[in-house]
Amino acid sequence: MIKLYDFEISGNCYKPRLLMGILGVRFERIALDFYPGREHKSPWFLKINPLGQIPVIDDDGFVLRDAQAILVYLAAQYDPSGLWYPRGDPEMQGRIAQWLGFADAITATASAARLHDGLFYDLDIDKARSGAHALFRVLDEHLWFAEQEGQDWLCSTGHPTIADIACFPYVMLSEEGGISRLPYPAIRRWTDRVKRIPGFTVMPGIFPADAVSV
Amino acid sequence: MENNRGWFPVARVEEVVPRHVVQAQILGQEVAVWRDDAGQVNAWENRCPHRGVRLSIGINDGKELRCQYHGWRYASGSGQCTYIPAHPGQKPANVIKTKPYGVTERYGFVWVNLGEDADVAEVPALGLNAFTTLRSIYVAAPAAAVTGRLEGQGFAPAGDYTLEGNGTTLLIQPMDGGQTIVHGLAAGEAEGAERLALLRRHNELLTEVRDAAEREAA
Repeated sequence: MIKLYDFEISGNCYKPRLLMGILGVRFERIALDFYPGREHKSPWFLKINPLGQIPVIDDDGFVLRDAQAILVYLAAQYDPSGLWYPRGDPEMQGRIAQWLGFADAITATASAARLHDGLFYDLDIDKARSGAHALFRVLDEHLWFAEQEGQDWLCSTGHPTIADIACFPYVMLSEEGGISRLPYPAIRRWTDRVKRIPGFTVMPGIFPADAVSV
Repeated sequence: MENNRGWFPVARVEEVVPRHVVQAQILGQEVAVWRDDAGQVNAWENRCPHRGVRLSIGINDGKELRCQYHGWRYASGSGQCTYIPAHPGQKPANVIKTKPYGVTERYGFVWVNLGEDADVAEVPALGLNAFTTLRSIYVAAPAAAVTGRLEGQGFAPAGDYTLEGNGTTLLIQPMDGGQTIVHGLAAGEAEGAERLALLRRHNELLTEVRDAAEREAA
């Protein structure tokens, strides 16, 4: 069974949990004392991931770090439909990679602001928040125009992809870092759609939507 | 509170989608806007009467809005509390209800008035029969600064919080002293590729205005 080196309130750890829940992949969680114990920087864990970051998965000896890389692997390995990470379409693969990079930028800003407010990280909070707002503007505009063309998801495949999974958590947790989503109505509609994906699971700070879509 | 605090558009009607709660703000007051499954739109103070949590993070089940915190439910239309999970056998007291605002749909937008017993006859008449609603643009700057910038881009005042120019009517939604939303309607019903091109052009123009107004306000 897949082992997930995990921390309950980490949005990056939530990404593989969310995708594995949707795909029906069973996994075992190995909880690290990320805060205040800093177990991800401990000697035993640095042998697993020298970057000292979670999540990491161990799939029968295949060890992989980086939330976005893990999503790519999980979808490629465990999604027989091929819809979550479509292959054979260079433009689509490029688009997905683009939004996976965008998800990393969200982590560097919105997640950083949340670490500052919630776990007392010492960083430039104004810069983190304004950086997140700049990204959310781009995201809201993209999603609004996608809706005008009848598209519900980040990459216009008619089906959500790992790009949606990668961008969702730290958008949804942004208010814990003092970043309001009031200016982003298209983002708010998209997060409701993500919550209605069959198999969707929650984490602390992320609430369910009504199960029924009309 | 006076009866009429002005009607302001808060969202395109298409964007008040079923089973969703829109988070809006006018004149410093947050408003939860939601549509029930019969199509009726509600605009309530964005605050659960129980513990004050925002109703905009609650669940729209098509008939009632359920607070995310303790699950109190409020009926579409009346705002009356219908169910308190901690007291499942008791009918909630009549005094437990959300605070409703005036709300109506006109010209492709949902309009809200914070006044009590607001009269829909006072929604501004725009004199538009055929129109295309455009993307609403959020600006982190006061309404006056945004209006000033728009006047430099070929728009002219045409009533309170309304400007016209470039074949377009703009409606200003003052969120608070430092935030503004600019809604827009273009004359005529554009369709297909022509509509998409119109939406893009307007978005580009308003983005320039937004950036200039924000630089000025910074």
